[in-house]
Amino acid sequence: MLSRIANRVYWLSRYMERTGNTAKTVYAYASLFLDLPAGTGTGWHTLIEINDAEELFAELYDKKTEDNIMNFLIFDERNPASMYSSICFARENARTSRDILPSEVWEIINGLYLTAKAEKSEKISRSRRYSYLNSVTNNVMRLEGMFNSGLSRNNTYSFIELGRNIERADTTTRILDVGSTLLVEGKTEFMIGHQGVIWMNLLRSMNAYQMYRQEVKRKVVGEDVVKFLLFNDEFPRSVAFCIDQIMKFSAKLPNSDKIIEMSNRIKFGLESFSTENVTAERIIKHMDEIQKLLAELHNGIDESWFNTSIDI
Amino acid sequence: MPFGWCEYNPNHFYDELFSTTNKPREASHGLYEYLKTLDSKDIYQRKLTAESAIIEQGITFTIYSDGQNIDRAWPFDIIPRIIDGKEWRKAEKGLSQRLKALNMFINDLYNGQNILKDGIVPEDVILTSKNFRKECIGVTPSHGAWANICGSDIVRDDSGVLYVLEDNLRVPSGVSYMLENRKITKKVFPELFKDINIAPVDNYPAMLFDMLTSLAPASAGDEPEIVLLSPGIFNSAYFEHSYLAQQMGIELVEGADLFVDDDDYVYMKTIRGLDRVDVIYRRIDDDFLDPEVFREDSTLGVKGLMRAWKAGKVAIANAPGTGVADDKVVYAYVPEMIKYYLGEEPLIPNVPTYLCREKVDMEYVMDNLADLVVKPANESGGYGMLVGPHSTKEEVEDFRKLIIDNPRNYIGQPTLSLSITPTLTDDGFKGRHVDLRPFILQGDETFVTTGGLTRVALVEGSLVVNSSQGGGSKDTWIVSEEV
Repeated sequence: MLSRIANRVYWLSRYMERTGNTAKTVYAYASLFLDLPAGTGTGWHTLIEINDAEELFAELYDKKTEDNIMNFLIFDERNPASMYSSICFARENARTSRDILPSEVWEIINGLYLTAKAEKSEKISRSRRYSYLNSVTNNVMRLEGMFNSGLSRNNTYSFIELGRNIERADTTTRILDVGSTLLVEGKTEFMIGHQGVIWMNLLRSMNAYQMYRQEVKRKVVGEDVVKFLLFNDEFPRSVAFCIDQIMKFSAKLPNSDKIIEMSNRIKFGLESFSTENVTAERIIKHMDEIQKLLAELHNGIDESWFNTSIDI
Repeated sequence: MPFGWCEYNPNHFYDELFSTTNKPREASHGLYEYLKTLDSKDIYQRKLTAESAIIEQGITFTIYSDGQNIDRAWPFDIIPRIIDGKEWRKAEKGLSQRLKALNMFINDLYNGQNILKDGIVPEDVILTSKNFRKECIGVTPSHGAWANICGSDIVRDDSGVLYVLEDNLRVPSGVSYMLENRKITKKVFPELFKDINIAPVDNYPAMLFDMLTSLAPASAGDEPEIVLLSPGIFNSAYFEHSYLAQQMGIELVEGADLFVDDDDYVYMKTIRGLDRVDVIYRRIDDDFLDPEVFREDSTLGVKGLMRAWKAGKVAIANAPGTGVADDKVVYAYVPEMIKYYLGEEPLIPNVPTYLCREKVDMEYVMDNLADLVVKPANESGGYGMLVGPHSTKEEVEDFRKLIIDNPRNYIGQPTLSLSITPTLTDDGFKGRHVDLRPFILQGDETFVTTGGLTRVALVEGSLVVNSSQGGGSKDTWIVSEEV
């Protein structure tokens, strides 16, 4: 398999995973706000912070209003991490690897692009925004289904899995970041009393709430949520599960020793994190470390298979 | 009278199917008898079958407009064009002869230049050609073959004589459509393939693969690594690149996939690491091939590729510099080349050609501009040409200025009454003008496709067959009597 094609398929998968994750996070965050009374010290701006995009946002917008923030996250092509940008990048990668993917893959992604372009061009209401986010989530699920049932378990599939799982693990750590940030920022008594609401909403944003409930049979507390989202080896969005998947599909590829070793190190790092009396600050710090390791893992994937550093 | 034929009248044109009104030629008899049994509903049903097959098989071509590129479904006519097997065998010999002479010519230009010294071809024609690449001087590729894949355009005039109209030696395209057209026709008229002895065309990818293999340098071993180098998805012929790569089971690569190491070998970047590449079937122009030697701004090519090629570590088909013979001025000298190198008479004639660089010819072109076809020496795709009889006075005068400014760049030819063949229109069968592009391969051996790609001008009276300008295509049958 050509490095270029592998690289494109990997990024196609990452960008689509990112698109779906943003859609779900924004949706969940919005519904969380409906549950919190005004004056709790939290704001839409937290969503910008999760994406490490404070600077860019400040450059582009004057006010941190709901509309501005939504536009920045969903439609703004000047924001390389916006849903719209992710969809465009995914589409470009899909377009140039159409030969090796089921034809529906292109159709779904191109459809997402066309809808995004149409929605982007007009100012849409809150309710329409939510139904749009829902339709994106549904299409991303369709795409996953197409890969699952329409693509042979060949090298292409392995790179799809690598891209998806590294992006997914990264998102999970960022969501744990949000939860913790909210708790740190909103130090009012109300927030402390409503920790449970916040964590439940975060679990929902990852379709994790039901599975969590089945696994953990007591009151929702931060400690358990962190444990579940980091270590649970059965839930597909936990960091441990994602890393396992990366190991499994790397092993099917040539030159995989380095990636398997790096993945093992990440898992080891995960397990050494103690959740006893965990504080929000400690979670934030630990998540930053995992994100760094994931970035290194990505670089390792790039070096092992994509040969992008060889000069043309 | 059966459906669609009642108003069919070839007039003064040569008809590929009929010898006179309603009297089919020998090779077309079976097809005509069959078509007569179909009523209007049947015929248009077959047309629908073809259209859905085209969509299913994803046969597209890309045209550029306003910076956007659009994949269009391939325009196809269901009525095949038929050539008699006896006539085709002669044409095949003529095409092989022509490509052999052209290859000897190119090799001569980059080595001894004897044909220039002997005054057969004027030196300045070559030295003023932008496609003469001095970087290629001194190189002799495998088997002395520079143009390994040639797509010549053949036309027939009203007297029935076949002429070569031009030789496409750079990166000729269209062969995938020839192959796909046959697949579609088999779906549309399956019963005919039983009753009529139609020569198969589908061995082309295998012959192409064998030819490419025969070019591999000795260092390559028994199973050379062959790749197809494409400019990428935005190229109008991308469908064909991807199709041929798939058919031959070779990797479809872009410039960024390859790199030339310090050992002058070409390597392909794969997830397994670096794989050495022995033969490159390139579908990009010389200009873009190697930014180290040709256009510096090219992002399509591979830095150092010319170095690798000159060191004999990789074969490139067609070889760099081949385009020097793909020039409509050089074309005029091909009959002379055949005599010079092979000592033979040309088996297929050229269309009479007036070279604007020659004083006498220039005068003739100026005096008869409104009756002639005038073409620039170095364009393809039917762009930048004048069809005198189909142009307004202003267009003719504008063109006159272009010619006077740069006579070397133009040639004039009589406007041929191209042959016609029955084509299905909304009003039944009508005669439409056609040409033929056979593909000729030369490596250790020479091979000619069975027939080729018949292109048809779908617009009534039009002579322009290019798909970018309203042309379509048909399946081409070489029909022989049962052996």
